[in-house]
Amino acid sequence: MAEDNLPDALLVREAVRAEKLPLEIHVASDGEQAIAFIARADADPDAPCPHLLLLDLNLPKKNGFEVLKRLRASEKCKDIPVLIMTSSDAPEDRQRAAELGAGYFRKPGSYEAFLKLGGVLKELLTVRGTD
Amino acid sequence: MRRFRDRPIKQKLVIITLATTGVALVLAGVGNVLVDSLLFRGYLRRDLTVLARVIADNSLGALSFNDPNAAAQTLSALKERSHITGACIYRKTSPEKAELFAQYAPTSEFSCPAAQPGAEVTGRGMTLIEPIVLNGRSIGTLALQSDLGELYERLRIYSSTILGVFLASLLLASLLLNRLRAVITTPIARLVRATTHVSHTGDYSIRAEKLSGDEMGLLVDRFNDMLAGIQSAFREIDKQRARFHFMAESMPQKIFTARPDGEIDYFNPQWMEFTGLSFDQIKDWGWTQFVHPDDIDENMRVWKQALEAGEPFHFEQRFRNAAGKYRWHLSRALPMRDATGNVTMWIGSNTDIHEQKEREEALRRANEDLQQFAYSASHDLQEPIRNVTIYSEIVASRYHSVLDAEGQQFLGFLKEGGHRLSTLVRDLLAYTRASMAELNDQPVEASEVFRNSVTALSEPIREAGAVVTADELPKVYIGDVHLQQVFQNLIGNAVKYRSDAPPRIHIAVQPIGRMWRFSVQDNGIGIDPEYKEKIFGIFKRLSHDNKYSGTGIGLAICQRVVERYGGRIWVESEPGTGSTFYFTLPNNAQTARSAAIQSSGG
Repeated sequence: MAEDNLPDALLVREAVRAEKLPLEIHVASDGEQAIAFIARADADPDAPCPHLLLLDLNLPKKNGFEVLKRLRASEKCKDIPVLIMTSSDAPEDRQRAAELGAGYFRKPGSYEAFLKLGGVLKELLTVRGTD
Repeated sequence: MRRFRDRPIKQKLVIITLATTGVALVLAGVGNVLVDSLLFRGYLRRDLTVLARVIADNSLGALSFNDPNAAAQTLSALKERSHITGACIYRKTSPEKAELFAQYAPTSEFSCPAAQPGAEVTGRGMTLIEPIVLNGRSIGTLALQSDLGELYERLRIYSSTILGVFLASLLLASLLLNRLRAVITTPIARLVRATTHVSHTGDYSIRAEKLSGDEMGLLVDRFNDMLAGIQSAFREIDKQRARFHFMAESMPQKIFTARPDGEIDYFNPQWMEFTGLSFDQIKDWGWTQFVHPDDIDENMRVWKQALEAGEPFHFEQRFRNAAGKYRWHLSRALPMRDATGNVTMWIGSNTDIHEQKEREEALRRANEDLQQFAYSASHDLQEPIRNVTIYSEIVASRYHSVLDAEGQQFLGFLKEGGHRLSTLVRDLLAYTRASMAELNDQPVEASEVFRNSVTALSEPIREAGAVVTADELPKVYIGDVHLQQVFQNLIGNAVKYRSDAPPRIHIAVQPIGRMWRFSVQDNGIGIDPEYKEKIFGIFKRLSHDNKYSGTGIGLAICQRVVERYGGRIWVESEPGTGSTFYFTLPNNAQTARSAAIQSSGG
């Protein structure tokens, strides 16, 4: 997960727990850290690729789309599912996410709605599992 | 040899006068001579006849007595008449025959013919035959020959006299002519000199001198009248020109005039002052050198288009001043037409709008910055607000037991405030988005946007049991997100502000000029006329009843969007019966684009 806002990161953890998903969450708190993570995976054959990237758009240093572009350029990790997770409801952001083959989850304004993220993640992983 | 008609009038006069005089004299002379010679011939014949009778009578005796010597004697009396060149007397021997009886031959050149000659006039003389009669019986014949020397002498004298008179007349005539022709030629020459002076100097103030009261005098009068007319017309033109120049020079604007083909023939001094260039440097097409390179092509295109169509020219462009700085100008030019509608000239004005342009640009930038700020701010605000609302929810549910009643009440305030803040920020975001329009050259299917809007509102529509219908909707040149904002807000409002009856909402469309007029009609609670305008203001929610949720920014968004594309929005309503919201949108890309550019500039 690339997310700079700790409260949101904790909410994601809540959602994962609520759905009882077997996920270990690694948090990169800015765009550069996220890109460094991908670069490491590319450089070291033993370093693992994440199963899923949860990506905030509004990140310090490098924004979410820059991270996503770097990921799609990665030899090893370019095919992992990505879910963009943002406060923005801008159609151009949605469109851009779709073009880059990423899912889109608008951060909702209530706890209950936020927990639905768990279901979305589960579905993403399932789809990938059947691939 | 010059043709007669091309000779100067002076020569013409001489030729005409001398020819007239000459012809008259010659005719008179020839007539005189002819008449005289005819008269003289008659006289000569009568004289000869009388002489012949006298000789014939005197010869009767000689013939009767057959005395040729006496006859010759008689004939010799003719010596006194020098013009008688000879005479012959024939005696009749039988009725048919006659023989020469006596002759008079003063010179050897003359001899009587043997036979009796007939009367005749030859070139050399005249011969007269007179019978010699005795007692009624012809006994002989007298032939008398006279030369015409006298006649010729007379003719010679006459001719010399006439020639003398002729020459004297011509001499006198030409002398007279020399004195008199000035009467005619001087006024003409003066008039010619006057016209030459006028045409060379353009000085219409001179007048030709009137020297006579005849047609020439009249001509001079008319000519002077014409000069006076032209002079006053020119004075009027000068006055108008001076007025125009004064007007053009006293204006702060840069004024020019151009010929119908667009070549500029006048610049007021403001141009020279501004550009630091001379008139000769900028006339015709020289002005193009001080137009900004980025503006010149479009300027030429618009200017040539105006010239061809004869329609007003209107253009904003930058001109370089003497210091090398460019300043924005508003250029306008109008064609002046004559009575038949042909363009006779163009008159143009150029107003320095640099400060205005800079202010507009600064305002536009400030407006853009403000919108961008509002957008970013409301966007960035969402995150902390979400943290407040969600974590107050979590605290409320998870730590319910550790809070006392007051703590729980305070937590409720926190939750409620967070939610309201969240709604406000979301609407603010939508509102600023409406201002940051993207220009869309591709038309959008309004029917499709309508279906999306209804889908987005499916939950409230279902809850209210509303029926939403629409005519077949056209293509419109507007961002689809924007159109959806408008539809969704209007339909959403119609559902929200419903009366007790199940909502019936219908969307219709009608073409009006270059626009489509959409209408969204409902059977809701209606709007009091007092609020017809106010409802479009930001945060002007009319009903404070909690039944109607929302921030009241929806209609402000609709207005913002519609005006952004050059349309307008208004409502007609009867409280208790329902409302119809109308809005107009361009039916072509060009109108939408120019409206969008204009509204982003302001």
